[in-house]
Parts: sequence; structure tokens; C-alpha cells
Amino acid sequence: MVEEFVIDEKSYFKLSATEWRYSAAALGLMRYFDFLEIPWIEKAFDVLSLPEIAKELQKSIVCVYERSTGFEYLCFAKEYLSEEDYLRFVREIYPNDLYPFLIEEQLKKSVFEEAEIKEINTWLTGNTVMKKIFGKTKFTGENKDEILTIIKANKDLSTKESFRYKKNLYANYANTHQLLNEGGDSCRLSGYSIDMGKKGRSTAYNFNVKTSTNMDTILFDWIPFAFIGDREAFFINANYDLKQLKKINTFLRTQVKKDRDDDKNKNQNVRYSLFNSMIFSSQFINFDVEVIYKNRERDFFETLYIRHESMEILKSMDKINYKAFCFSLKINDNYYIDIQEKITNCILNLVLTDELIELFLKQKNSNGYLVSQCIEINWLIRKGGEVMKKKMSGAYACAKEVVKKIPENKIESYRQRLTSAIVFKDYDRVCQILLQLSNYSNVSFNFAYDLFEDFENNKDIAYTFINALRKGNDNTSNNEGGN
Amino acid sequence: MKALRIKLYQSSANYRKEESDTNKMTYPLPPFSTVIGALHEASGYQTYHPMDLSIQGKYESMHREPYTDYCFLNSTMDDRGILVKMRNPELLSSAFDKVAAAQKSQGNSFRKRITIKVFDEILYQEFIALKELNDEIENFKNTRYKRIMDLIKTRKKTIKIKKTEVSKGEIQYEKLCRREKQIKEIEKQIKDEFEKYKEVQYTKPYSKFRSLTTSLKFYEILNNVELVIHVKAEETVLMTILDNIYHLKSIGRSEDFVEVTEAKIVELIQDDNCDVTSSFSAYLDFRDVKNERIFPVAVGGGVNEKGGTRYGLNKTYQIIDDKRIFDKKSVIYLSQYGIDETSETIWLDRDDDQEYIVNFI
Repeated sequence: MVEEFVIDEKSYFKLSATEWRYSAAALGLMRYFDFLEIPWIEKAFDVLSLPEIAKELQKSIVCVYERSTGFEYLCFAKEYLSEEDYLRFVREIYPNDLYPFLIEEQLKKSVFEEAEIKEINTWLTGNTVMKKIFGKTKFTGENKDEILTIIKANKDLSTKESFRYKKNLYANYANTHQLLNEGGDSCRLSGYSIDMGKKGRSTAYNFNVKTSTNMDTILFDWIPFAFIGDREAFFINANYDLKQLKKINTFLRTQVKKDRDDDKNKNQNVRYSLFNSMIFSSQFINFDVEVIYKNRERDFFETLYIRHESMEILKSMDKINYKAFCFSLKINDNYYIDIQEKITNCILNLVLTDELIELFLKQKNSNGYLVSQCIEINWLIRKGGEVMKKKMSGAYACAKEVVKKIPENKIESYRQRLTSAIVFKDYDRVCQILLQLSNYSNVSFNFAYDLFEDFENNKDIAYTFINALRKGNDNTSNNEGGN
Repeated sequence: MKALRIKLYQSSANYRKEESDTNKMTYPLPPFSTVIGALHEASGYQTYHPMDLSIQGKYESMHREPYTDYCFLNSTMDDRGILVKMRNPELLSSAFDKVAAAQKSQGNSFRKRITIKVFDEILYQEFIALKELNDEIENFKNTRYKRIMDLIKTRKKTIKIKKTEVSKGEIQYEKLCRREKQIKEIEKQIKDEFEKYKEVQYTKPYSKFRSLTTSLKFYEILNNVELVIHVKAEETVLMTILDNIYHLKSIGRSEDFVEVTEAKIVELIQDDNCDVTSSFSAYLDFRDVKNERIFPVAVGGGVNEKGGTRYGLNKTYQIIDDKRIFDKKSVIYLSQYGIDETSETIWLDRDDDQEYIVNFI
């Protein structure tokens, strides 16, 4: 919640992280105040008395814990929220997303090649704002000063309008008409914003617009700075206290940068850094937490609850090659399945990865390694324990024994038949094929008794067997990133 | 201390985060105001009966479910949405007949029949007839009605001037007063008749026509939710809730049906030397966690100093200027936590093999 209050004719804000929107705004503001180098003071009171902190608020940000209610407040003067500073902060945070400053950087040179001139001219007409500012002015390679003068004269305008309309910046998070406006009739965020003039009655209690308690504040304009990512952006609402919120955010931000620098292709995404950090880092979150997710292709925010149970699975995944799942599987020219998203959703919802295992088994190209990793995840989700591990090892050994004894074309044929039967959930058929195969190969399948008794709960044994039923040893493949 | 323990099951639920619209985001457990409202509704209470709650539970998984959202626009628009005729104009419900729909994003007109698809020609003609009647009424208002009103106005003005020329008590003055009264009555009669005609012939029938827009929206849905709710209140209140507990139909959306698996009065105890870890997630009083009366358990065991997500959850409200202004409680959502001892806000509910940590808020 947010409240505006006045002491000695000066306006102040009191912000409490009672919901993700306020947490994200508080985090964005803390980063902004750090940029402005405004000092920060922590206080605790039984009951917060605003006049008591008025003196500190003159020159610092005050973070107050109120013992009687258990709320924590970020208190600051409204005068810090100037448009000029906001735009300076935008330039600091997104230097590579704003064309004028990319051009400025490029124009530091004195001699330009043909390709560079062409690139600068593309930026000069990169969006409507740039076209409006530069008109018909083109970069020739010799009018560097002219271009720089125009940029300087329109610095704030170009920053504001580019930030407002770029799909990965403000437009991804909020209603573009609301940037730096005081509070409106409905919350400015994507998925929250409503045209109250036309639709207000339908959204209000008892169709009475007067009952509407929608909250909008200029502070929500600081929310984009709390999210980390590009196509997929995440905000970790670890708001035990404001310090913790900032610490977790800084950790992930650093990790994302590190992962990007380490990656040869420079295309490592934030989801990878987030989950990889949960798996491997003890300094990162190891408790229940709400994560707010924004996908650029969807005009709303989503919630991911990372529960203790899911966290336990993630922490046990250090032996699983998580990176192997970080790819998209092409189904056709217009449809790709994001395997990483599927896997993480399975872990967060404690849903077995059967759908993916069957998908990989059906693939023409061998995906044995991925199947084995998915089976490992299933084992963690089911809390299979050592008994299940032994049964799966037994199935694996039997499959390898069969491979040695029967010709390759027969192996392939049996594997196809088993895969088809299991995909169609025809478990009796799977058992029949196993009996035929045991008879044909003269190998005893001890593991099969568990399947005859309870197929559904021992399905991973069947997957292990089918996956191992191939020449070579796919389970130790190191095809990181999939195919 | 006596409390009412209610165990519930919901196959699906959405506990909406306020104001989220396109994707109706959910809290992991129902907020206090949601449960208090549902219990009051089940008990037939019309006014607030004070109660403290402890809400804990768990869900199996969460998914995003699409649905078609029907939104009635504030006014009937000529160029957008679907034109519908309500069966009952007082009630915005799904009881309506589709009349016509706009085909393009802009440039449509129901009145002029431009780029629209008519579903029901009879209803559409009814709509057009009403629109034409409105034009006639407006035309009448601006011509004949206006002329008469102007005439009345002139007469009234003339009488007013004449009245200033004669002194009170004279016969002429009395005559003028009578005439003025007569004219005013005629004016009122004409006005009333006009308004009545407009109301009956146009306003009422036209109010049945509404603009409806449909869009794809989403609900975040929790699947297979188990809830354990402890209620602390006056004994009569507890008994009323217990007697009416099977009237509790839903928590969250109206379609999030509730199956009450158990409801009974239990005796909560205090224990200064206990070592209990909860198997449910819960909303815990942040002050109790901060003061280390409740400690979050870290992944892999051990105590976690700072964990969980905090919320300011609604509990009770006051209506100020038609708005519900909620009193918020500072809670933290945790799914693994324990206690070493109880306190005035933390109690233990020991029942057969199960032990519940009860943190009233």
C-alpha cells in the first residue's frame, strides 16, 4: 500500500510491500535512490509517527519497521521523483536499448566505414520518435556534430518516448499513456489497466463504479526496474524485508550477467540463471517465494510459487544436467516447445515429466540422454528412494542384455512398439510386448513384476527400459543444450 | 481454549489478487476476508461477527485457465462489440439474446448497418425502430415541443411584467396569479406527459439493449486444495458456524465449490516445550516470525533466518463513500516452519497423529 502525506507543506510517500506491485515499486525505487546517491536510514518504532522522522526525511530515505503492526515502510520525499532524474536513471539502466545513446556511442569515432554509416542511419529512423526528431537528416559520415547537437537538444524527449514505446521497456509492463502521470482511475500495469470510461461498471462491485477501489500511483512507474530479463522477465518477491528484496535481486542480476558473459553464444536466458542459481547456490533463495513472471508476448503478469517441496527437488538436481533442457524443440515452422519452461513448470507444480519423456521417445533422433535426465527428475518428484533406483538399474541392465542378444533391426522394432503402447497408455500391451521380448531374447525381466502389479506408479522403470533399448550408451551423452 | 476446526477440500480455486484483470492472479491460500465472508454467508449473518482465523493448507499444482470474459460497456455504443437485448435490464447476467455484432475493429455502425452481422432480424428491427423513435422524439422536442415551451415561457414572462404594473390585492392581480398558475400547470402537464411518453416508449425498452464485448482472459487456478481453518470467536458464533457449515458452498469464485471433510470444536493447548514442524503452508503473523516465535525451516533442514513472501492481507472492512476500505494484516506465507513453544497468539491443536500449529490473526 502507498500513502502520500504532508509535513510542513512538503509531500512525502510511505510505501509498504504488501503485495507484489508495491514490492516491485519499492525495489525499483531503492535502485533509483542508490543511483541518486541518497543515503538510507533504518528505524524501528512501536507505532510509526511521521513527524518524528520528518527531520531524517529531509535528506535521506527512511526505512521503518512498525512493531505494533508488523509492517515495514519505505518513506521518502516526493521531490526526489523528478522526471529529469527518472530519465537519467532510464539512460543508466537501459543504455543499449535507446537509439540516441547507441548513436552517441558510435559517433565517438572519427572515421566511419560504409557499414557503420548504414547502421547509424537505420537507428536514425529506428522508430517513430527517432523519425520525428531527426526528420530527413541523415548521417553522411561528415555531419557528426549536427547529429550530436540534435541528440543533445532532444535528450529527454527521445529517452522518454523511446522508453515509453519500446516493447521490451515500459510498454512491456504498463499502459504507455500513463508514463509519469499521477495516479489514474485504474492501475497502470499490463493486465490491470482498464478503460474505466467504457468498462468501469462491469469491473466494479455490484456494477457501481463508485465502489471501485482501484489503486494507481506514479510509483508503479518504477516497477520495470525490479524485473530482470528480456523476452521473459522475473521479479522475485522475497520481501521478508526490503534489504532482503534488494539482496536477492542484486544476486540474480549479477548471476545473469555472469552467465551471459560465460556463454559463447551470448544468448543465455534469465530463466536459466534463475533456476541454475537455485540449484547450485546456497546464497540464493532456499525458501518459499513468490516469483512474478512477465512474458513479452502476453499482456499480463503471472505468478510462479516456488514452494519448499519444489525447492528441495531443485536443490537435489545438482547431479542432473539442467543446461541440457535449455532449448526449444521445433515441432513445425510456427510451433516450438520451450523445453526449459516445461521442465521448470513440472518441478514447480510437482507434475511428472511423462509428457516430455514420451515426446523425446517418439523423436526420430536419439534423445536418450534427455529421457534419462527427465526420468531422474521424475524420481525426485516421486521421492523414489533407493528401492526405485535399484529397480530402474535392473531394467537398464536387462535392456542392455537384450541389446547384446538380438539383431539391431529387431531392437528398433520392439522399441517402437513399446513406445507406441506406452504413449497410448495401453499398459497391458506394454506388458505383453515385454513378455514376447523376454521370450524372444531369452532374458529374464525381473523388473517386469512391478509393472504387472502397478504400472502407473512404476512407469519410470518402463521408461528406463525403453530408453536403454538401443545400441550405444546414450545415458552418458553430453549433448548439452539438446538438439 | 476452544476453537472451531474446519477441514476443506476444493478441486480447484482462485483466490484473486485484487485488481488483476486480464490474468486473475491468485494467492496461494484464501485471504482472511474471503474466508470470513464465506463463513458469514453460510451462517446467514448480515453484520460482522468478530473472529480470528488461522488459515493453513496446501495445493497440488497450479495452472492458467483461459475463459471468455463478457463485459457490458457502461453505455450502448454504435460502433463496437455485440449488441444484445437483456431479458432483465436490471440485471447484467448471461440471460440475453444476441442482436448483432460489429465485424471490424473500427468504422462499424449498428444504426447504419455498416460492417455488422445481424443474428436476429426481428430484434434488430426493434432496435432500429427505437432509434428512429428517439430521433422523432428529439425532433419533436426541438420543434413543436420547443415552440409550445417557448410560448409558455413568453406568457409567463408577460404575466410577470404585468404583475409588477398592478399592486397586490387588486382584482387584476388576482386574475394574473390565477392565469400564471394555470399556465404553470399546463407546462407541468406537457412536460410530464412528454417525459412519461419518452420513458415508456423509448428509455425503458432501449435500456434492454446493451453493448457487450468479449475477450480472452485467464484465471490462475490452484488444483486439489486442502485447507485447515481454525476459527476463534464467541462460543455462540462458533456454534452457529458449526451448525451451518454445510451451507458453505464455495471459497474464492462462486464455482470453487467446497467439500467440508470435517468440522468440529477442538481444544487448543499451550505447550512451553514442544518441537513441532508444520506439514501445511500457512499465513503467519509476521511479528511472530520476526520475533522468532515461529521459525522458517530451510531447504535441507536447519533454521532459515529470512524466508517467505510477505503480504498485507485484507481482514475486515469499513464502507466509506461506498468503498470498502480494508484493514490489512501483515503476514508471511511459508510452507515449512516450526515452533519450540506456544504463546498468546500461537496455539497447538493435537488431534490423533496430527499436530497443527495454530497462529490466529
